[in-house]
Amino acid sequence: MSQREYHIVVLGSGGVGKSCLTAQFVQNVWIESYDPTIEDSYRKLMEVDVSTSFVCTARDTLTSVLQQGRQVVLEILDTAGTEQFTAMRELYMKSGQGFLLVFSITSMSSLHELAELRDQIIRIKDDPRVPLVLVGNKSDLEEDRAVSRARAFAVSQGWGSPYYETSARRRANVDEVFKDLCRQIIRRDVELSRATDTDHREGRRRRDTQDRSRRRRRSNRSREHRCVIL
Amino acid sequence: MAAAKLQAPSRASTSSASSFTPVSRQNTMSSHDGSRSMRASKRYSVTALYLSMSAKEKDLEIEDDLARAQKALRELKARISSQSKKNFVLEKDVRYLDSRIALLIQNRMALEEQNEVANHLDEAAELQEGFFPNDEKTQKYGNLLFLLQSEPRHIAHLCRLVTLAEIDSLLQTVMFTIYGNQYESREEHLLLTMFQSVLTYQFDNTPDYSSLLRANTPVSRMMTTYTRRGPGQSYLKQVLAERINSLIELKDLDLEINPLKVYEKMVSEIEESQGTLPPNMPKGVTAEQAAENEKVQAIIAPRLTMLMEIANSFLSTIIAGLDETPYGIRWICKQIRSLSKRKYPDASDHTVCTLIGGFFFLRFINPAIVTPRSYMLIDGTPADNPKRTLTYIAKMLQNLANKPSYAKEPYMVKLQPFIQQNKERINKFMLDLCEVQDFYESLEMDNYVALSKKDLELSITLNEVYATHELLERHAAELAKDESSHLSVLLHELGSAPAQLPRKENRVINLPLFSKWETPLDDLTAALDITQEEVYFMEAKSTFVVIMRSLPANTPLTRRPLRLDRIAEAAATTRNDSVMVKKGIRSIELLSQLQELGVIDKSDGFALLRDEIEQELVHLGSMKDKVVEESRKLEEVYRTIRDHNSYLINQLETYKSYLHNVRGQSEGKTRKQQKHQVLGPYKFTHQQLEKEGVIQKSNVPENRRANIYFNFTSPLPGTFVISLHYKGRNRGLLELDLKLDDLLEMQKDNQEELDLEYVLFNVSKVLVLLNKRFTRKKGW
Repeated sequence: MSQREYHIVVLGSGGVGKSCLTAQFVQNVWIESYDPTIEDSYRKLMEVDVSTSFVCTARDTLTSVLQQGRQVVLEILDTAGTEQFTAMRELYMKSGQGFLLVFSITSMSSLHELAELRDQIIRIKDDPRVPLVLVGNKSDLEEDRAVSRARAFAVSQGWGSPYYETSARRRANVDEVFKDLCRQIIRRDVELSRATDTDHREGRRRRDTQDRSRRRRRSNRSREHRCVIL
Repeated sequence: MAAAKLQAPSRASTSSASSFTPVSRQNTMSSHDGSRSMRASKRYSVTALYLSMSAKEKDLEIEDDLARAQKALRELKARISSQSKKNFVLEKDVRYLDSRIALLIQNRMALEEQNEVANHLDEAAELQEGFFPNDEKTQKYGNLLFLLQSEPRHIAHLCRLVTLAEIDSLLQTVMFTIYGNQYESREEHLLLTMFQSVLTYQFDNTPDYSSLLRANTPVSRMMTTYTRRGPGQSYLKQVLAERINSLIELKDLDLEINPLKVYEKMVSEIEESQGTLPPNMPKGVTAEQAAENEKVQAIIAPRLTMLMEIANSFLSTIIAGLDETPYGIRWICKQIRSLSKRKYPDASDHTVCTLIGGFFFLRFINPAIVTPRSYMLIDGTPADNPKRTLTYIAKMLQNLANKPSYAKEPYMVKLQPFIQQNKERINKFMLDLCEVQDFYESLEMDNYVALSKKDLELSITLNEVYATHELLERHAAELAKDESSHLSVLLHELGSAPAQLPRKENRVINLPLFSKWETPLDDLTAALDITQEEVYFMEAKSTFVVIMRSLPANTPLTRRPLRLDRIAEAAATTRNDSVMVKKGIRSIELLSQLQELGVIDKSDGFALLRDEIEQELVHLGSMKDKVVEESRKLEEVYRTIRDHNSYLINQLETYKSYLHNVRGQSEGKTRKQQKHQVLGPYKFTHQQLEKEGVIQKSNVPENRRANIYFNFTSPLPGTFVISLHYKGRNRGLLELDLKLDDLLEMQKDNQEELDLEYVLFNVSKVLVLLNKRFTRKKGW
């Protein structure tokens, strides 16, 4: 049984609870201490409920996914929210396949910051439909709410991405967020490989930029060598 | 000591535990309370005042070694200030283009956007000097900016009102223009006062302790920008550059300690060499399984030791650099300490240290360790192994500064010995960081001096002035609620803010700053709460110091103990030096006045005054060495900043040429093919290219290198042919077609090597070379 590996990157402003959310999901623990992240990586095995996630895909591709198995490995990269570390972001985005964009419902500016991040992701992945979930964390702090549900939902609608409100502290909606993202990644994966089947070149063109640039470099090489006269 | 405060303002003394008062003040102007009353310190301040006032009078210029060294240092500092501002602006442009060029390379940019980017590039040129449209505007903006500069609370308030999108340009104006003289105590202190005001607000408005200083806010943005100024840069370079550079040399040193990663690498290596995997080593194990694997443990064990050693060496350097840490950074730490103690009176030292670490390590030290290139600490991009190691170092330092929760990455527990061994050391260090003197007193003094100065000037662009004006106007309802306040009056007089000018019409102006509301300096004694005796005493002291510094060395007059009456006499009777004569006469007057007042006594040789003058002179002697040493360090900083500047300019040039080229091509499709002249070939010897760093590595044997040369040709704009030749042979050994796109893309992907079989070229350096050689008027 082959195990698919998917790379998830958790992004968002400082102090919104990215690490708490991730640690709850992966290790079922609540982190109380003041411990800003620089860069942490996690791995988790997850059962994906294939039947519900592929209602909309064609039958042939569905069977191919089923044959590949239902258990996936999630490689989760938890990043620094501190803005001084932005120089590392681009690399994270290149390596990620799905993104959790997290803000705190107690801070409007933490939601605003995400728009720029999303633009950057889409630019780098060269894919406006990149798997992405908007997460409003700290839903247990209802009395301090500064971002209305409607407001955040409108933002997510504009992006064409789902919106969840989570509480890492109470472990509310935590698994759901990761599951949704995972389904999106698988779906996108299937779509892309189907595109590859039908139109090989088109599919490759739309694969992630990293792939493309690697290919381009390879073609550089062949050109280099073709021209060797010696 | 007074002079030390004056000359080297950014290095306040650290041994001031006794005079340190944890009281924090909201505003410099309100500091007329009890804590500012130590007589001695007041004296020093007054001396500083005198010295700095007299330093402004041209006729009193002293020409000794110290004065010359100080002058050189001042000039150097001014150059660093203006250069770091230029870099800040250039960096913004390059960042913008970095993202756009990627799209262009992928051919995904619409023509309109291409034009927009091109406009942006055209604008990126040096600004010309100019003037305001009329004198009235000059005067009114001069008044406004004087107010903004001398009363930081307005900008502090504004910083809280603007959005994060607006704040960048505001901060640029604030940090690099309004308070742009990074080494001038008054501007530095005013800027820090502004920091304090914003920090206080943030502490008051953050609900819980764990969110303090975490979010990206105006304050954190200010901190980022602040650390980009000269003193912060030079500190990082001094403390970190050497360690980081020696670490990135070790490209093959793999210090990964995440068992999963180690296991996977091990498994894939075995698979590659043996073709199959042994049955006890399956792929896709869990973290726990990987951690239990004995081979993995054996690989990790020595790495842990080495990581701890490296982290220790970083930590030791940082701790040893306590005295080198910029005053402003330390002062901010101190504010964090006092604010958190005020908000949480029961907080332990440890808790306070966590917050200090949340600033000092998280926002200052560690970003530079993790991404050293963006801090100008290294030239290239580090290879994967050293990069990972640097990330580990930063994580360890951050863990040390905070309470590590191993819940996040369990394998980090293995590094616990490092935490245990250093916990106390680092807490002490962070508390030591806070031990700096406040500056309110000297600031007050500086502000009086500023009022008396006739030549306070600000070099600022018209657009900066207009943008600031516009922001003030937009938030006037909040900022200028009180209609009679100075800010309201000035804004009302100015009317509405002019629109931003196109870059071509933007100008740099020298704006004279002065207060609309002159504060008379006559009642200085009242304002500073000092007596006439003290004023005389200080004037006498500074006058004698000036005389002594102007005397030739080794005259009998310089012998100790000083005979003040004779010195005064000698000065008063100097030939052909009216300034000296005036000083002499004045000092005679002062001596007798002070004696009449009973402050000094001729019978003991004016001991009270004499001793202080002698101390001052000793101090000035050792100061020269300090000034020379500081100059030496700053020279280096200046060089780095300039190097970075030429890198940025070159990058912009490349983009510009590329863009012209692309646009030329898309135009060419619709019109007739333009005529293109073939440029080149230009010949370069192996030695030349090696010297310029274009050749990064050469496989040509030493003795053959003299016979190797290269030809660079550009048959079409944006296309190059590089050929490698051996003397005496007609045909080249090797020929390489290059497209500018490819080079740019390689550079973007941090691919720095271009393989020509016999030699490795450095991609960036090749771009520089092509840039220099093949610049066509319209593209390449």
